[in-house]
Amino acid sequence: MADGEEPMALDVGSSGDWDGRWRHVQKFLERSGPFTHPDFEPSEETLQFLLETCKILVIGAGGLGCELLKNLALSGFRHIHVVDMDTIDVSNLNRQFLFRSKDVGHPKAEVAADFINSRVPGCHVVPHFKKIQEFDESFYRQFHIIVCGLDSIIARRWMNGMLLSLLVYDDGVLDPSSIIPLIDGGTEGFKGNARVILPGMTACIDCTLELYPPQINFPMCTIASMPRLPEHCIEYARILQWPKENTSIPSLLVLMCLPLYGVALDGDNPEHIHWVFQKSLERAAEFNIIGVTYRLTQGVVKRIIPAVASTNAVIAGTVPSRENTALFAYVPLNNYLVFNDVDGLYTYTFEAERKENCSACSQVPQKLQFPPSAKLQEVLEYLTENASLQMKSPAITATLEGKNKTLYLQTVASIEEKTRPNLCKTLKELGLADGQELAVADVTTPQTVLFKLNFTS
Amino acid sequence: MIDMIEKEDNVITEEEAAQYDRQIRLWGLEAQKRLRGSRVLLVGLRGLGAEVAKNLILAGVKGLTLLDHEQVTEESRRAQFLIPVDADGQNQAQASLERAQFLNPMVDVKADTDQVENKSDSFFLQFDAVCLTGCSRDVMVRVDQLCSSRNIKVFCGDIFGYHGYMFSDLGPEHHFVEEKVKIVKSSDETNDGPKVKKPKVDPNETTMVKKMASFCSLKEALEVDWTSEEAKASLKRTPPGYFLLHVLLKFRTDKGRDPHPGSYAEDSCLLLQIRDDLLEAVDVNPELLPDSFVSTCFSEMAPVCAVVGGVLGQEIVKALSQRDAPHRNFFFFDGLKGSGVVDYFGNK
Repeated sequence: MADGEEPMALDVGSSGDWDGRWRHVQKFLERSGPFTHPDFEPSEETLQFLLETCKILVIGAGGLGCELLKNLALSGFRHIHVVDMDTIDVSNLNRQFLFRSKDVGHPKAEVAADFINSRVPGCHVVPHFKKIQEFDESFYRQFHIIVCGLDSIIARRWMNGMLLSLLVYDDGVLDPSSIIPLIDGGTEGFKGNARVILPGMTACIDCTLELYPPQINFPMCTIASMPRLPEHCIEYARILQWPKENTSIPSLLVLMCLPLYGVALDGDNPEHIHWVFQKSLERAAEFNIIGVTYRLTQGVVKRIIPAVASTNAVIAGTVPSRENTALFAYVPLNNYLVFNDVDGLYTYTFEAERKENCSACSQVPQKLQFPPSAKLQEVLEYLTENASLQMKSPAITATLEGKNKTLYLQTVASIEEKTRPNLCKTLKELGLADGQELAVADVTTPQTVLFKLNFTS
Repeated sequence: MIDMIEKEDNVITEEEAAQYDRQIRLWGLEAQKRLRGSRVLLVGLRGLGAEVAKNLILAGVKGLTLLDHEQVTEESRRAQFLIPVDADGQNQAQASLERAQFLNPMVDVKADTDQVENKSDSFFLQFDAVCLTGCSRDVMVRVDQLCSSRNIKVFCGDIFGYHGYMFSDLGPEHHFVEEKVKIVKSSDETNDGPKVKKPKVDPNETTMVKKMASFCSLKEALEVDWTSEEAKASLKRTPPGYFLLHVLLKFRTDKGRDPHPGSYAEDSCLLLQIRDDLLEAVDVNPELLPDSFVSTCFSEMAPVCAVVGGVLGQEIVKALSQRDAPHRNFFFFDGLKGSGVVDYFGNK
């Protein structure tokens, strides 16, 4: 036993480390750069903290998630949790390299955790085969930093909202210890981005909602009467023909006399895709359009996004550096990185600005301006179509005569049916008053958003 | 040899179509078939090599040979996820083989434990592309000279701490196709009526355009004459990574290894000395590569390997599939700033 003190982080015996193992990370932490926060003193204690204490949550164990877990583990983080609700599919294998064909069908989070735990000594990854919405504040609050490799904007907004709900204000002043940095990355084909969000301080997801590319929706008239592209033919079959003609699905179902009305088109059902494919071919032949293939049909119906390993590798690679940055004291000047490998190489970093009246993070009460003669339907349309709100299926409630009343709710069939007549009623008819508060719930946020109703003349 | 004619025996199986679906949607079936017929040599299996290996194997090349004569050490394992924990003392290529092959059983992955310096010319000629990491400047120049005249695509890359680069020489006449967007003014734009709900985007019609790009040799790219007025004027826009590369390659030649954290003090001194000497010799102000580079160029940062490995891997895929414009001819990445720059050095 040595008499003197030994440097704990590098002691081989106690922690499985060897001298110099984390030297490369250490070098980073022990230097002051031009942007170092004045209060930050880099030291061996910081390295110690990084290794022993820091708890990181990775959301998504897919294209970005696999790369992220690998980079984080090799960079020295030891306590990592990973959440993913999906199981492994064969189409994942071209880039989600922690999974192999024998893993198809198994939960992504669990297989990924196993791989990392057996490869990096001392690293402990805890998997959660769940949806992010299945956890509450007490789960998220335990992490020092959260990294997202999600595949939907809705999920990102939900996560964004969750972290905003954890913020603590003392007399209107934000308590910095309640901030959990969120690092969000996304890729599509050869393009990607990574951004650092400090909830309550920097631009949040909703502040920059307009930056997301619009979902591809073809004009109905093009689909219905003036198709030019094979995609138009496929959408014709999917949107117009399927609901009308789905009785032509394989006869087995007809024989079983199953109620066919309202059978939803299932993108993972090869027979459904094949039906759409055939109908698309017929439509295409009518208009002399070439290019309808089975693969294209699948892509359009399932809204498949092309993906490749290299883009995910690049974006996931930028994340740990930004993470060290957010975590360890560099003043977050540039917080949004864009990568585009389509036409030459384009990397561009800028500072996304907070939106003054952001519905998620600004705490500025949101306003709804409508004349009392406006129908509830118009309010609903505003909530879904406004570029800054982009809600999916908002549920609107208000306090009327001292009671909480649901004005409209879409996501539960029985309530939808009951409240549907309200859509045609005017705000006045519904008993709403000027200055009234409406509470709106939606999948895009874990918290209800309060709107103040202002009557215009 | 790659040419524009489809290679034989390149029928995509159902298994391949299912596994490669997401990338076939990106670069097309023809490109995938060309990849499917390509053999690549990868020299050096440290952090960057492992990333490139992963990306190429996942992409589905025909064969990948991993060449490395070094042994696994605790340090070399740091940014390398293919080598198992208990492999110290084994050959680096051998130790990486199992996990590499496991990434995609459809690729023929081999390990070769020879030293690249000892390989004969004919060895290199069996490949369609060669990627050199961790090699000395002399080796890189020699292999580049040998291969590019025979239409074998040559790539080089290294990671020095937070900094990384890649270089490509696709020969004097590299042919490829590019998908260009046809801007179509649709007459139905105004027919949607007053209520245009969400922004509507049609996938524009595209057309494939044939193109050609020419590349200079590595020798030429490294031996830029900085004394001319034109060259001096362009110094302001020159990424410091270019000079950093020269310094580190000289270090590698002189010491037979890269800067090592274990001999930080001694190596830092030498690095600064080399920088001063090199830049003075070409009459370039040493301040273009500030002293601070020394503290950030040791070892290999895993995420930096991932970024450069991603770009390098994709460049190899592009060159083999002859699709999409290649970067000309250097890519420099600064992991501290998160900045990536493509720049051309050598006669245009």
